[in-house]
Amino acid sequence: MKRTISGFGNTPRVEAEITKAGGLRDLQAWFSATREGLGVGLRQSYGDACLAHAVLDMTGMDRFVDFDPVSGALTCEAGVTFRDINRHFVPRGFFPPVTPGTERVTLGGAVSADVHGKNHHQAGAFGSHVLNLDLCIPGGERLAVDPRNSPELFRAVAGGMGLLGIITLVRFSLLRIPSAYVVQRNLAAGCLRELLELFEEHSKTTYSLAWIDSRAGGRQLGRGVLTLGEHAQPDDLPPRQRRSLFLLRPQRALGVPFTLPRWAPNPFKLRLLNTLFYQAQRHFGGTRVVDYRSFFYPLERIASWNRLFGPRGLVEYQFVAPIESAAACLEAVLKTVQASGLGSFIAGLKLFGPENDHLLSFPLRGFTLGMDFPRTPALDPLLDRLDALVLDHGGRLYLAKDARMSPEMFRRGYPRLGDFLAAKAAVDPQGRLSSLQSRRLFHV
Amino acid sequence: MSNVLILGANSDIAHALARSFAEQGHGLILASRDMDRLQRNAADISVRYGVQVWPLSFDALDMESHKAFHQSLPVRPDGAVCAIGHIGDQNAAQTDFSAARRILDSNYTGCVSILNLLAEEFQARGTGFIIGISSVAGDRSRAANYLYGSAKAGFTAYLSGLRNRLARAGVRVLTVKPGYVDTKMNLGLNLPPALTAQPERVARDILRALARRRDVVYTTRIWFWIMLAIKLIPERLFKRMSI
Repeated sequence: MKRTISGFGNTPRVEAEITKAGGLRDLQAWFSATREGLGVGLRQSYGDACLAHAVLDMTGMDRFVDFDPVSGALTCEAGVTFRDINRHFVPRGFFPPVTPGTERVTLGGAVSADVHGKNHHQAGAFGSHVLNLDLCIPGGERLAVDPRNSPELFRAVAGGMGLLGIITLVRFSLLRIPSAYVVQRNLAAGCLRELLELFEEHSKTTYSLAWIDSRAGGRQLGRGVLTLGEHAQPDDLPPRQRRSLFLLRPQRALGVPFTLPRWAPNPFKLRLLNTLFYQAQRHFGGTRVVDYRSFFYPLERIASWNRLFGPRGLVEYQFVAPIESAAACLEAVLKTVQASGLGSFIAGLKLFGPENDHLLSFPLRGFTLGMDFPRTPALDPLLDRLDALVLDHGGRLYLAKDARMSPEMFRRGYPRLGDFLAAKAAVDPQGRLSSLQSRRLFHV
Repeated sequence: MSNVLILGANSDIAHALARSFAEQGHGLILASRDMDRLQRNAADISVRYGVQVWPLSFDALDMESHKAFHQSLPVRPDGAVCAIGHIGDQNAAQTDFSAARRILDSNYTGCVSILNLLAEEFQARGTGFIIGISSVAGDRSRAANYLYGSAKAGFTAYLSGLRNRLARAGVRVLTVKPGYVDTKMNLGLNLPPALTAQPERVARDILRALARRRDVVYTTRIWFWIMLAIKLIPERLFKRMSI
């Protein structure tokens, strides 16, 4: 079936032949019939990392296979989503050790992008919690891969953007949680320096994320609100919630049923929105107990919020700057964005822990900032300038969000590319797995 | 905690029903022919909902095996669902009797064979429920699928008689009549989307009817009215129609 598909940013769009996989036989059939293509999940990557002219939709392989309540080890087909896992396991007192900012991500996608959450400084990336996985390579062969027995292959698959094979099964350990609630604390910072100091001061806290008002300039450059979180113990909860630690009422989502027209939102509205948001966070700050969905997936309440960015779509620019140069890099980036006048309502800042050994994994010890921009022609020169700043400070960009970085930028940010390509050549010598992104960045 | 036996468990409606029962905390005995697929589904439901699930091999057409199957169930079921069905090839069945027999046995005789055994058991102990998934096609047969339709008509009549017999014993019999459902049995038929239900919706309707102690349920409800209209058409006219 031919359909036009895109990532979460709605740009770029490509016409693709989509095949849905229900079981392993479908994968083998697809490999036989397809010269070049990619296995995909829910296509929540923002840019072209999840796009190809022939895609195999793995979301139908969504069965649970096994769960060990003693160790917390969960085995699932790769199409199982974080939403499925949370729905069935939070009520039993378990939660993913690392979760991305949206539940609409498959396990295959989570491993392939080596996703991170609000606890990277404590728990690392998702791939580090994978015990073993099954990989179907272009020959049709199914390989059992794990970090102990097949480290070279595992290091390439985790963070490998689906380019070595199609992941069919994932086994990882769930975390035991004391309740379905999170104790959330908001701390306001008047400028970037204050914000970074707060991060350092609270680096022992399990979960942390800061929202930055990217429109604030001058002495208030980088002002924002740091949100800290810990899983709530029963004693932290008011009596009513203490009686049902794990059961929550279903959340009603506010949808955005159509794409907003071209003329909305404009820069004036953005500044106002940002200021209101900042002030709201400041005033409703302090400490409160929230349910896990409000803490981990705040944007999910507004389903399809990407449509607010209009038909041209949105671009997310997410980079990481090493800890030594992070303050300078962030300051330079924020000043440049500010000067351009181009909007970014949602700017999220997180603290990262050390790099792992997955070859194309994004996080390294430092700070990561992600900014959303409506796609306009004026955006490209701005992002090129930001690329130069990020490179100068020793940083790199996140493949799962990228749609436009140059091959040069990519090579300089990911020095282990050579090892990755060697590992890929070993299991996919004919280069049959590729995405629009991989062709753009390393012609494979 | 009660256990429900589902015959024909690999069908889309049965799978949706199994998940719904599991969500309510019931254990499941799933019976079907394709064990590979069944075991994967059983593991999924068991892990997902934390209930015990037993996958068993069962062939509706192998009626000699039904007695042994019934006697060797891992637990005695509190209720049973018969979701066995086969739409068959009407054209082939008109000329080839083995194809016709297959339709009749899959949709009627095979179901009677196993349900007779379960009915005896449930009547003797005085509790339980039997859910039979028939079809609107059994309400009135038409040229396009009358072999399937006649088998389902027989099945509906069987369930009705069974209901009459078991009512005194305190055992409930629910007849389910789905209209168009988006399942692999109907793959390839171009069903009008407005009238086609998803298996999950059918499962919800069935459980609601069971809870409300209904005897017959059309799913979706509009099919009650559609079939009423169709049943009211005089035969003189109906025989000339091609619907």
